[in-house]
Amino acid sequence: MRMSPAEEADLIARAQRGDVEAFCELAASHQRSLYLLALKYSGNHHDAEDLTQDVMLNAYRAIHQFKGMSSFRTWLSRIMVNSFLNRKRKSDPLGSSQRQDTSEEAFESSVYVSSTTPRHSERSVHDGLVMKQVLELLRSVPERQRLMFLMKHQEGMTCEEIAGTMGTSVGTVKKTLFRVVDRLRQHFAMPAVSKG
Amino acid sequence: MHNCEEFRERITEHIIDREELTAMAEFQNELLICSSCSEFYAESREMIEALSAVDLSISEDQWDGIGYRLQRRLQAERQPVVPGLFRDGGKTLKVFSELKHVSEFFLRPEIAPQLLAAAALLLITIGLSRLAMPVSGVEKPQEPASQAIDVEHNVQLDPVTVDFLGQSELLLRDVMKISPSDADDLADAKKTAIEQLAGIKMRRVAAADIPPVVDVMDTYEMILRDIRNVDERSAADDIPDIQKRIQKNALIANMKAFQPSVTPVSFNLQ
Repeated sequence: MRMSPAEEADLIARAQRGDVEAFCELAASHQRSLYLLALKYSGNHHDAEDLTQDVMLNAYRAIHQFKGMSSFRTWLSRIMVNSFLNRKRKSDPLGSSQRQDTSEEAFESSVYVSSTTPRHSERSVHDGLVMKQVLELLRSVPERQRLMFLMKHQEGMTCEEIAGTMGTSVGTVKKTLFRVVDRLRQHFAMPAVSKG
Repeated sequence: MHNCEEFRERITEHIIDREELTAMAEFQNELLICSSCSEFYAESREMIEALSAVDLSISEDQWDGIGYRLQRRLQAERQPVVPGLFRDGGKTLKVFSELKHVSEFFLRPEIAPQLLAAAALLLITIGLSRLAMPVSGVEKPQEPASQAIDVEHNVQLDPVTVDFLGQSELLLRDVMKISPSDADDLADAKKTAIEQLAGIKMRRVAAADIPPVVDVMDTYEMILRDIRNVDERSAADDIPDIQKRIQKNALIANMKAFQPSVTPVSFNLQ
C-alpha cells in the first residue's frame, strides 16, 4: 500500500498527537516490506512477526521524536536495525547455529501455504529447495552483515543510506556486502530440476 | 592494474542490484582479462537471482492476520487510563462528556459575551472578599512524592490468566523447536502439557468475558491433548503435525497478543 507524502505527513502528525488509528495506517503501509525482510533475516514466520511487531511498537513509542529530518522509511529503518540486533542479543544468545529447525520451519510453512494453490509441479519443488538452501545460507551470515545485505537486496537501499542507518562508513558497507556475497556464492549450489 | 579484491568490491553493489555488468564499459575489460573475477560475477549473479526468485508465498489471509495482530498490539499501547482515577463504573467519564455539551452551549456566539461579562464580575467580587481573609496559618498541603506504578492495560484479564498465557506461549515455542528424536524435550513438553490441561478449564472460565481468548484456549486445549498423547513411536509423525497446527492457527502470536504489556508510569497524585 503506497501513500502520497502529504498523506504520510498527515498520518505522522496525527500519530504524534496520540492518534493510534493514524499510526496503524502508517504501520500497514510499511508492514509487508518489513515483514519480508524480517522473514529472510530470521528464517521463520514466528520470529518475523515478533520482529515486525517490535519495530512498529518501538516506532509508535518514539513517534513524537520524529522530526521529519529524514523520510519516515529511513527513520523506521534505524528503529528496525536497533530492534533486530537488540532482540537477537536478548533472545538468542546461543546464536543461530543451535537453532537448526528454523529454516526448515519456514520451508515447511511456505510449502503448506503453497499447497493451498494449485502449484505442485517439479518447478515448485525445485523453488522450495532453492529457498530452503538460500534461507539456511543467509542464517549462516553474522547478524549485522546479514542485515546490511538484506537492506541492500530486499529494500534496495544505497550503500550511503545503509551506512547512515547502521552508523558506519560507506567503505565498510561495501566491504561487508562483498564478503556476504562471496560467502553465499561459495556455498550456494543450484539444485538440479529433474526433467521429464 | 587489475586488483581482484578491489574490483569485486566495486562490482558487488551492482550485482546485488541485478545490473548487467557485461554491458557496462567500465567493467567490461576487467571481466574479460580476469577469468577468476568473471567466474565470481557469474556465480554471484546466479545466487542473487535465486535469492530474488524466492517466493515466500504469503497469502492475503496471512497478511490480514499479521496486520490484525499488529493493529491489536498497537491499540493495546494506547495511553492507559490510570487505575483508581475513575473507579466509579464510568460515571465520572459520563459527567465529563455532559460537561462538554454544556461548554459547547456556552461558547455559542450569542451567549459568550454576556457570559464573559458575568464571569469578570464574579472574579472581581471573589477577589475583593479574599482581601479581607487572614492569610497566616494556612498551610500549603505537601505534594506527595512521585510514585512509580505499574499500569496494566490491554484486555481485562486477571494476573493468573495472563501468567497462564505466558506459560502457554513458552510451551508452544519449545514444542516448535522439538525434534521427534529428543526424548527428554518431549517428556518435558508432555509434563507441562498435562499441567496446563489441569488448569485450562479454570482459565477459560476466568476469560469468559473475552471470547477471542476463549477461542484461542479451545484450540490450545486440543494441541495440549495431542502433545500429552504423543508417544515415542509415533513422535516422528505427530510432532511435525502438531507444529504445523500451532503455526497454522498462529497460536504463539495469539498467546502473546493477549498478554497485556506492563508499562512503568510515573506521575504525581494530588
